[in-house]
Amino acid sequence: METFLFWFCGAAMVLGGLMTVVQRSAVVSAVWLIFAFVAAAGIFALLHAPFVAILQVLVYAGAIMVLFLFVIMMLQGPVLEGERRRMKPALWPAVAIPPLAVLVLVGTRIADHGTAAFTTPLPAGFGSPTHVAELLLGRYLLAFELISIALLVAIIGALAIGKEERKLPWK
Amino acid sequence: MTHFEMPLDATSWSVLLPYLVIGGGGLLVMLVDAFVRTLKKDHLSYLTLCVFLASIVVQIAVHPGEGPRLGGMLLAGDWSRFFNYLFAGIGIMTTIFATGIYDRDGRYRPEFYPLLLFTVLGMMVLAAANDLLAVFLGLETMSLATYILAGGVRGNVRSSEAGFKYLVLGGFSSAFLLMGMALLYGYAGDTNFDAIARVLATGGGATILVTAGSALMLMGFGFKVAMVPFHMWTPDVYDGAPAYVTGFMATAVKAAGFAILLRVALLLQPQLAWAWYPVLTVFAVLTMSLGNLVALVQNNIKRMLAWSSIAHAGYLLLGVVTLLSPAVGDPARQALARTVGESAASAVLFYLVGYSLMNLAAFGVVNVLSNRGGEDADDINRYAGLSRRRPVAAATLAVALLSLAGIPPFVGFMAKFYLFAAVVKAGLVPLAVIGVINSLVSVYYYLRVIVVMYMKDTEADSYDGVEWVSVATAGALAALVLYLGIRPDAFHAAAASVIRQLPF
Repeated sequence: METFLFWFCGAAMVLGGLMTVVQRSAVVSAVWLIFAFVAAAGIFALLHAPFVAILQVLVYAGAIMVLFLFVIMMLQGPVLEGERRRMKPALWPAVAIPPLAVLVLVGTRIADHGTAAFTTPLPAGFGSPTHVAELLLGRYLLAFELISIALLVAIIGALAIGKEERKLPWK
Repeated sequence: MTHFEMPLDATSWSVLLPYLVIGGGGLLVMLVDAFVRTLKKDHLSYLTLCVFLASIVVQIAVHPGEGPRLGGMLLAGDWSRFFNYLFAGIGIMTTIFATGIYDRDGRYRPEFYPLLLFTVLGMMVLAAANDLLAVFLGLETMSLATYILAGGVRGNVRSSEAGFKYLVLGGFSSAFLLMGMALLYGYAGDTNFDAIARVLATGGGATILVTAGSALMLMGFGFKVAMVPFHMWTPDVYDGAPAYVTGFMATAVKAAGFAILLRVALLLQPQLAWAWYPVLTVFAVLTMSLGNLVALVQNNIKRMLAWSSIAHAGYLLLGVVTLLSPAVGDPARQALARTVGESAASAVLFYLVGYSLMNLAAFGVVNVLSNRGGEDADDINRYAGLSRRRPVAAATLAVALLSLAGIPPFVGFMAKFYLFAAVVKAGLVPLAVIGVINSLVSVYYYLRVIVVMYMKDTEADSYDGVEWVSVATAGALAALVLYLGIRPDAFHAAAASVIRQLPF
């Protein structure tokens, strides 16, 4: 059952990712992205991380995507016009090689060690909100705070580039 | 419930203090700009200077000891102290050069100051990082702020182009870096450097994961330090960004990139020297040669300095190559390995400081002139007759350029001397020869600017007025370039003592 769910969610995620990239309408792309996010939540749940899975649905598939859709619709994201062009054959390897490389990497690892290489026994309470909170406010407290600074920088940047020009206050 | 470990004891606070000063200072500057109504011209700039000075004072006053702190996130001690001083110094210079910018480009840019402080915070975290998470977050904080600094002059197409290019390519390189970190995590089962080192020492885990992961990470760092073949963004971004930002990027971002490159190279050296050594050798030679060759044909001084900064990244890479060379990895000759490794790493640090000084001096002058001279102000031919009309600025630029070319008695010569000496000590004579040939080539394009300044003249004075504060600061940097070129010993010894903190 777990194996089936894994492949189901994995296939859904790949499909969602592909459709997000190839769609011509930004709105449809965004909806496919929700699909991919929900599938990713399924994978997280299978990985014994129920809390992350819930957050994935609430924050990404919920809040952030609503914001995305809202912004796209507000800006009236254009449907890409123009002639349909095929990708140059010379670029195919560039697209194909990275995923293949990951497949080979994981494949050789499994061939060498069996799937046991990826399944270490989990400590009790792994993935629970308590566990996540302990890591977030304990070992990773500094990283947590740094992320807030990085986001603040991004906000300042968005404002600085997007806002109306300010008058010099002393003139 | 398991035990709840709060990592913030008294020592942790003292480790954090300089970071808190810079980060809190950034917030303070931002809030002051937003809420203080009586703000006058340049006040934010003075406040920013105070924050940088406070961070230096805190560094001098508080000694939190050595070793990994804060749950292994940051490495406290001389290494991070060294880089914190360097970044604060570069920040002070940049703030001085940028003072009054909203008069010059006619636009009020208050976001510059908090962003500068946050960039420096990111760099400090990056240089002190002892955990892959800290590496990534420091790098991203630094990069995000730099994208905006580079592209922040609104209404200026070239600046916007620079910001956008940097953002897109930088995002791309960060993705590579993150993927590499994920693979390395998959290999070691931990993000902490010490834990990774332990796993590497025992040789457990799948080698292919760590090989591929470190290759991807090398791409990410190579992008930040403008290593060929990841250098494509450099000329456009350095040219499009305002000169005071370019000077900052060429010195501080590069120093931060090399700090983490050194850390990661030393971390992975026992297992991966065989892979990194040949690859980095090729990249170092390419970086030096391409940077110098393309700089030969540039007519825009910012583009010229951009290509020259690529060339200097190549010299610095020689130091990293030396660290990874077989002579250092040879267990049979431990004592020799240690001296070679130490001299290479301390040469890189000395080079970073010397390079920062001379490059900031050059960009200080270029900044003043490029803000005063109109559209084609960065054209080298516009510098004709500068020695007659602006003798101090011309002399400063001349000293900086001679030092960049590696001509004695300036610091650029000593920096190259220490570096090439370390390369030779490791038995890599061909590499040292290539490096020397490259610096000979570079003399041509640096001297060209000096020839234009001192031996050509024009009728019209193309520059109206010069900001004497910026010129005086650049002049002081040039004096320091000369001083460190004549008396480098004490400083070199200090750089060597910084290195001893790192494991070899």
